[in-house]
Amino acid sequence: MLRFAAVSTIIAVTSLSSFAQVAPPPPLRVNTTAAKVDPQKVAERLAKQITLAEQVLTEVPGLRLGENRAHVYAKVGAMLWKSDQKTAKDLFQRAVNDMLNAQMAAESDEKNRQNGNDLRVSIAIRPVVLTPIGGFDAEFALESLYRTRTPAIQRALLQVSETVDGKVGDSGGNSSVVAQNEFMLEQRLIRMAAEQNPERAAKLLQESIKKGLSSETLSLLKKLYETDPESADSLAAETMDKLLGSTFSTNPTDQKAISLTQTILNDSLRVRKPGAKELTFADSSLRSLANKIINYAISAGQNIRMSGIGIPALIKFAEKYSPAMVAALKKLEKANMPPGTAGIVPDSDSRKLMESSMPASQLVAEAKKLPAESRAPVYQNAAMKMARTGDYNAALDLINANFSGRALENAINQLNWAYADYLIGQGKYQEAEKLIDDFPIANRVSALINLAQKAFAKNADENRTYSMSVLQKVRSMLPNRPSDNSELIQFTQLTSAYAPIEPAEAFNTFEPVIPMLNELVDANAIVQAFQSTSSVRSGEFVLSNGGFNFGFFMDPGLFRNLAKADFERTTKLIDNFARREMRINLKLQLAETGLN
Amino acid sequence: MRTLRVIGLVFVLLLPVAVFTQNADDAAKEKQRRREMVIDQIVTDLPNLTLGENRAMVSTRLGNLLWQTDEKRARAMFQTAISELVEAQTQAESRQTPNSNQNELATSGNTRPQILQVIANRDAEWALDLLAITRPAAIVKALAAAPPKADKISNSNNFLYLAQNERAMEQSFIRMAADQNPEKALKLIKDALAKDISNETLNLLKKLHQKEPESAKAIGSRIADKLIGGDFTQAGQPDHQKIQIAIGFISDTVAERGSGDKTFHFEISQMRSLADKVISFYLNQSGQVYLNYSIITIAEKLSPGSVETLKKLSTAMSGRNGFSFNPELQKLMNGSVTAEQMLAAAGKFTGFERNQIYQQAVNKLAQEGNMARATAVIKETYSEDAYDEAMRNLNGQNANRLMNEGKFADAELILDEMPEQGRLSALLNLANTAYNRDQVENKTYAMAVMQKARLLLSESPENNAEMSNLNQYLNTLANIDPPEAFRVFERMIPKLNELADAAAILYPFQGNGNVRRGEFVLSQGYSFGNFGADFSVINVLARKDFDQASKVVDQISRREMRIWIRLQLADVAGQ
Repeated sequence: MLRFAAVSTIIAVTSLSSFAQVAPPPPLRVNTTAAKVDPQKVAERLAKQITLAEQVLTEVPGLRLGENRAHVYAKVGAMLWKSDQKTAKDLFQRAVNDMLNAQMAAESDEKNRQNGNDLRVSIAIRPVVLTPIGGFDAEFALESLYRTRTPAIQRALLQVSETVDGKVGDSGGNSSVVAQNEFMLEQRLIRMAAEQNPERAAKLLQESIKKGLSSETLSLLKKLYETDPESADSLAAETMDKLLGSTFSTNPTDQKAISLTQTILNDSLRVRKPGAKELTFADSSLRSLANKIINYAISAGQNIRMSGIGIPALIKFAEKYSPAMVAALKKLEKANMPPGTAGIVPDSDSRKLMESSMPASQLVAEAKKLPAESRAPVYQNAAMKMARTGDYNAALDLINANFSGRALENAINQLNWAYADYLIGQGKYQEAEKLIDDFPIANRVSALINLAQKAFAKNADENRTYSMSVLQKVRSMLPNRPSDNSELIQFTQLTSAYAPIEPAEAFNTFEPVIPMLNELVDANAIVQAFQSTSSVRSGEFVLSNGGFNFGFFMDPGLFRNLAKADFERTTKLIDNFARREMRINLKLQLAETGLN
Repeated sequence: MRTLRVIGLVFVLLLPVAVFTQNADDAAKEKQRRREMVIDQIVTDLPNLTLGENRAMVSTRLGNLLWQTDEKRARAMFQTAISELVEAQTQAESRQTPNSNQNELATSGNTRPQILQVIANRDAEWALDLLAITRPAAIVKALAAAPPKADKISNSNNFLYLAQNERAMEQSFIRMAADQNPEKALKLIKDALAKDISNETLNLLKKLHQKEPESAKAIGSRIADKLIGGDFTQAGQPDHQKIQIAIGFISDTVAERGSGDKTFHFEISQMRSLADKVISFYLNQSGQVYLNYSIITIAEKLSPGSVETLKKLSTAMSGRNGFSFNPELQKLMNGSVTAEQMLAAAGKFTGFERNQIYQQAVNKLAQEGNMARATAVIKETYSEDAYDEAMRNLNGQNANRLMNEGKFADAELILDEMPEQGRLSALLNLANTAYNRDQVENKTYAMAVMQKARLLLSESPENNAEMSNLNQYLNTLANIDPPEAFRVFERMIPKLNELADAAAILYPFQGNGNVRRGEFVLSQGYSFGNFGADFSVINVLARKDFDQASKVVDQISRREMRIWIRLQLADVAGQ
């Protein structure tokens, strides 16, 4: 209870510094109903979450950007909702207030107009603040959505719904994208509100669907179907009519119809439980819709790349609703393969074989019936199947008979990887290690780490020493410090592998890397800020923009693995990162997904 | 006595000539001194560069600088460059790490072509020899690679591109060698044409035609037949290079020529067949290959029956925002159509196209000085942000017109009302125009305008846009007030040093090939991190005060940047 009080104190202090209008929340309460599954584990997890929440909230007032504070408050609020709804609500309120202030500042900052553009038109920040809030208090999120609509968004919405006598209102063509994003966010929050308030669900959903189409429409219809199937079916028919009557083009205004069409057709291919009552569209309508999008894709030719339509999905639609178009779509797929990828990336014919459960010999026989450029991935797949069952020589023969040059080298490398995995599965670790020792250096590190992890997982006591020796071998292959992202990934993999086997070694491996990462992230902050990207503002990384865009790839799984081994030391390790927003981000990630 | 007078007169008359000659000699000596000083500085700094490929690039530039005054030393520099290049390439090939960013060296991406091109400009025959000597293993392998076997998968496309690029470079050097050495030209060209078809083939045929028209015709005919009988795909993918070459041949053949023109062209009957082949290829691909719009012009001349189908295909291939190549739109935009005619025709076009037409019509009206009608058109056709933007453009044009008429104060009044975003460049344009019109009379006015422009700038640039603005300002200032320009430039340098150092840490970690082993790769361009800085201003400043410009360069902390900018100074010193 002391810890909950501490959180409240932190919140109270931050409230003084940022939003005095919000009253200090009462102490956090633990939701005891959540303890049904495994009381001890849940309590432990909750305690760790609270620790991280405390640490994060202590840091928040030090964040320079209001949009960052908003993002963090929304996330911590969502994290605390189940245990302390009152504090969570308070944090949600803070998040919205901080976001509003940040938006107002961006609106009035004429000089840095470009820099604050995402705040004005809500490209990233509002969705990442309002969606977590919506997950628990969607009515408040919806109300905040309307409250935080900037003049730029309002203008965009007006232009979309009321065309001004055919005048050009936005020569850049961004308004429709902004309006679509806003509409989609609104529909998402309404769906959440309906889930949280079943009594109002039908009314909310009907109103929302009638407003227009978005990629959320199908989810809304399904939700409505649960309470009012008749209305849902009727609205589904209306939606279908709208889609069939709409224009498909690369114009941004048409994207929502194209996107929803794909969502509906994809859903129609889903295998349904026999007898289950679900929202369905008429088969004839689905056929017409499939033909419409297929015809559009074929007429768009190479521009299909810009329309957000995946040709493999279209082929699946055609196979069910318009078999006569399959050949034309396959031709389109081939023409759209990026240069140099023919024979490497599987096309629909080879993919179909590879997704089947055919034995290797049958795959080889079927591959011979395919056009020459479609065979390579199937042969490779068959060879991998052979290797995974221990028939390495047959696999090698198949590869040698069908590949040459660089393709042969690549195919053998992949085959060796699969065979090493087979040997590991058989417990033949030394044999696998010997094979891996001949891998190209780029694959060797990952393969050895995989060997050590699997041996340890099989029998922790018996194989600990062996796994450690393999990991020591990996360490000796790496430089003192990583010099690029690939080496950083290798350090990360090695640390993760050490964590369950020898936690001290894991921390010893990664701790010396942190000063270098601090140097890198500072260099990145200078460069990004200067290049006017929206990643850094006022010298601070914008957390809503992907969060982990610190200039290098930092696998969040690393801290999850370390925390499993030693939670306290992991939080201290994170504290070694010099930038506040980085510490906050890593701790939030850990609290959200790393404690299960 | 009379003789003495005559001698005295001659002496007096010749004195100014002698003084002038003396001055010219002094100026030449001063130029030479500066040039040698900069070259000495570069030569001293050169061995300290970390990357062999950078030493190779700098040695090449030095060789090029020295060529006309000291060919022997220049050749030695080129030779050094080649040795450094070969060593760097060998090291790159021996490195096994997959992300070492050395690929460019191992596959002749930038450094080798740039170096050989400079040498070829001076001695193309030598460059041809060096082309063979410096060939990385990957290129040798690509040239030697047999066509992929139909029964095996080889992923040979990359090899084909490497070989195509190498052959194109070879053919280009042969053409240059033929220019430089007419005696050997014929043999070189014939040998090159016998090898393969490349982007250089047409130039080589034209060159051959000047000496032996019949041979050129015969070889050209064989090459055309080869294209007509060949295939526009490679391993199932469109061979864009071959399509491009074919379109180039046809376009050249059907281009307008003067009546007395006797230059090489292909046989029209062959080009008709080739055009039919290209058109069929496009139509068979049903818009799945990007359309080269020249094919519509070609079809209008050689295959009128296909024009409508090609136009439909072009319209179907509409891109983002509804943009597509519309020949009707191009005719309207490029022809001698009045603004009113354009406005009358706009209704037939799509929204995106209409916007282009309105903009062009408004521009035309503004150029004619018809501001009232231009404003009316904007009011009729635009609203919201688009209206503001169109009005900004119109006002900018109006101000330009007034500047060109010498009505500087009137122009300034308009600029004062412009939004901050576009005002800076407009003010700089005003100061420059006024100063260039009369450097004595308008200097005070130009300086006052520059003061006003300065108020729009940050003291210290915080992003690319601000740096770019400061550079624009600096470029104008260097002309009007060089001492102040030096001061502003010097104040920028610490920030540039900080940014370049940050980029040098970050880029290699992210796999960006612009930096290797902590050093910017000079063959990758002149960006040093693309921070809106434009070092060409140092050329303008050097022309005003060379020694001070040289001292300013000393403040740049990174060696490779200093050397690269000094190479610029060496160019200026010789002018």
